[in-house]
Amino acid sequence: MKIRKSPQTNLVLAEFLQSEKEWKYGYDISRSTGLKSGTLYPILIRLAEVGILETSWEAAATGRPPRHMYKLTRNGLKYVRSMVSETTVSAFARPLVGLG
Amino acid sequence: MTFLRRLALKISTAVVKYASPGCKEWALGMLHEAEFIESDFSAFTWALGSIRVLLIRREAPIHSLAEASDMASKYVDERRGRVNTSWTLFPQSFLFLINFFGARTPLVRIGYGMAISGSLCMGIIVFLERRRQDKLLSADIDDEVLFYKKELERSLQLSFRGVMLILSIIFLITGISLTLSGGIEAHPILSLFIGSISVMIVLLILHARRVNQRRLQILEAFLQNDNNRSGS
Repeated sequence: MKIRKSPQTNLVLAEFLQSEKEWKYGYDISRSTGLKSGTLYPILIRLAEVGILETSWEAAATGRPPRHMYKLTRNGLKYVRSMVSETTVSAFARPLVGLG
Repeated sequence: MTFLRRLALKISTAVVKYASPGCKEWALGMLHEAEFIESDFSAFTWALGSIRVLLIRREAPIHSLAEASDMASKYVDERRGRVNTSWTLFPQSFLFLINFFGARTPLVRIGYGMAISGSLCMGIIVFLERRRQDKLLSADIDDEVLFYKKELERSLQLSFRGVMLILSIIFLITGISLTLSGGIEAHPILSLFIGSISVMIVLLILHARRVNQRRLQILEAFLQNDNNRSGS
């Protein structure tokens, strides 16, 4: 899987990792990450394209349209976990300022 | 419904209408999501953000390996029925050759020389590439998806033929520019036209590369999911 690891993408992935198996709505992700819809959706589209996210439509409640939901796929979960451990390892490997 | 809310709805609906086939579902998701935003101003800014989706151009989405397999079959079928017409690229080299001998200045002669080598090289590479594909397609293909995947991977690799093709295009365009007697100053519109064509060719190559990269990513994701499912 090749994705551009921007800080915004990491924010979105971290958000999904908080509740790995739950479906999430776009507006909720936008509120919790602080990303605007114009930044968030291109990231979600890319993540879904590479198979990290899966999408689904929530059954419509009366008088309301169905909502688009997103969840990590099994591969996506594996990928995000490995990415997190990689980040942790590289953070420990990096020397502290003034000590390196 | 307030003015801002109505405006937000209009923007989001327009985005759904004009979004590329692969982004329609996402644009619709954003439109529906706007209805769950309580503040009118937030709904408006949400709708404004959805305009960004218009810049993302994607093909119609593929939802399963079966659909990916259909895409591969279509690719194979399209190429199986194709006639190798790449030889039509050669007559232009002959025209350049006639002009080469009649050139009045050394610079124009160099231009024709470059155009001849560029068009000849391009013709040969396209011919060989078509012949390679025809040979593969004439045999029985066990797995069309894997065949398609290999072809996509090949199109993304920087092969010798790929480099030569780019070089021959550069040679051809530079050569044609040099053959203009009097240079760019004497033919500003024609020079601009040639320049725009070369920029368009580069953009088309980059676009095709991105499309193939995306197709390959989708195919790999489905194949990986399928392997995981059959493994568990």
